[in-house]
Amino acid sequence: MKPEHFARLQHEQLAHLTRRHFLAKCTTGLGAMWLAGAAERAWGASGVLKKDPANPLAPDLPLLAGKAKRVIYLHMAGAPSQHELFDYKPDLLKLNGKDCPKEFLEGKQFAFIQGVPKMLGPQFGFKQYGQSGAWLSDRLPHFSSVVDDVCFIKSMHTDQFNHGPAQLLVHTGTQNLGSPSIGSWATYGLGSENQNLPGFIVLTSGGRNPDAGKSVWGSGYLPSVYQGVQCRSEGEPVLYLDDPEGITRGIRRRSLDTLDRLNQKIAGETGDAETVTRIAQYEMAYRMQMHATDAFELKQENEATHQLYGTEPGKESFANNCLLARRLAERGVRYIQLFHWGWDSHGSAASEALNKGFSDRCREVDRPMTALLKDLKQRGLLEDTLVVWGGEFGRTPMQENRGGVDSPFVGRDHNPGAFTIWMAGGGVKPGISYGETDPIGYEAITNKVSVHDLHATMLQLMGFDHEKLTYPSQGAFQRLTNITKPGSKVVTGVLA
Amino acid sequence: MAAHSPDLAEQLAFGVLLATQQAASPEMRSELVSLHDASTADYQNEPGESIKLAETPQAAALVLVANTILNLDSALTR
Repeated sequence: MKPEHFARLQHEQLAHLTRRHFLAKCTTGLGAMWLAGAAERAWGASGVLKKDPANPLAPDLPLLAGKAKRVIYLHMAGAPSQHELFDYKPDLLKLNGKDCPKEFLEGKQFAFIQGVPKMLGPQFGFKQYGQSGAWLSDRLPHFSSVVDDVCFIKSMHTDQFNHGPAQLLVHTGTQNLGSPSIGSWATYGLGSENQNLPGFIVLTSGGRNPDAGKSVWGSGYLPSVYQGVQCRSEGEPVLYLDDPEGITRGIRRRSLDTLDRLNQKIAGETGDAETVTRIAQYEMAYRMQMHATDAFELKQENEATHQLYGTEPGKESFANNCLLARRLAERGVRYIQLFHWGWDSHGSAASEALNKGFSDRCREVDRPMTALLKDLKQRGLLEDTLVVWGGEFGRTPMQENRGGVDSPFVGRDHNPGAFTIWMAGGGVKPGISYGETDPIGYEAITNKVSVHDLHATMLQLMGFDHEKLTYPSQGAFQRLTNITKPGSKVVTGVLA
Repeated sequence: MAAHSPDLAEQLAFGVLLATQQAASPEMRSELVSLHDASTADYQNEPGESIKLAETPQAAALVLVANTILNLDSALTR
């Protein structure tokens, strides 16, 4: 037999060894330990989903019939300006350069605007596209070809006007730290279709992590196994995944076997489900060594695909991350979260200004997000993949005048009163625009959608009643839509 | 660990004590000794890998067992 065949057989045997080894070990003590802790622990307690702590990401059925089997969330950190992208306001154009009327300033709290700012009309031209007649600025030429697959929500609103708390609210349902992110709820509720990769993967681009930090993909009070795993689109997909020099896969396997046995004893003594989960995670890391490298190998894609997305091999880029997102979706990853940084168009620096950096951001996302939708559709994945795009709040129709001084750069301040997101696939009605803002795009007025309404809708699409997917913490059954903020409702108008 | 005692089991138990502040049970000692013995044999068969970790196969095995000890749940969770 050729040496490479032997090595390959050895590899395959080692791969099978994990599953057989794990299943065989499952009966030793784990069942008893689980029962012992069940009453106190939230695994299996009443009102909570029944999960096996040794296999917490096993695929699970939702409580209702949901169209979305997976989610790809594209978060534009910094808050992209709806006035320069989707929410066309001819009335604002007419007010361009005029002093802001008093009634728009009374009772309002701004992040940076002081005194009386000037109104700022849309900085780019708008046209209508597709059969749906969707309004789109000239900054997104590629996206114009897929508007008929998209549902725009123009009436989003929030109560947070700073990035950190606002991002936390969007992704965890509260502006404070400590709650699970949407991806954690999704993997808690649905598990994952692929046991060789994390169920919740995070990819960032734009040079920085979001302001709210890693808590936006944290697991909060849910078991920590449901947290997002940040992977990289350049270099090793996951840091420290590869074995160090001098430790071969076979040697690692034996060391892991010992570790598993020793940790199981420890789990038996402590009764801590987290220990059991740690064993599962080490095993997953072992399997990931083979599978993650494969999933992240963009070279496997043909040239046409790279052109479609506009990928930049070897660099960290939103385009690379979108292509990765499609590959991960194909492989059964349940929740794929992308963050692209740099949308905070205050106009205090060229890098973010509407008349400079903003166009770069648009260019960075236009082609890849279009490609993602086209690619998913062509592969038959769009119908059960929910894609969401948006920021954490909107921007003001007034020009920002930081420190009351005129700036060479053009920008807008934060505006929680109105912002636009779009959704596609996964049971969302395509080719519509839902909700409206006032004539200057300052406040959402018709069919308003709060962040929690969005959460309720996303959960519905995944097959969950947002009031029934709960987890005990601090003496109450908590949920993504936040029990301290009752009244969230599913936006039935965007359901197909 | 190597400096602590000439006896292998004692060395490994000392390592566990350092990492977890707990005494190693007899089962844990025997598990770790088995791991060390098996790994020594592995490293003797793969001198190319062994030298990346330490001078001798026994020392390389000790590095591996130390790595395993540091990854124990009781070493990571206090």
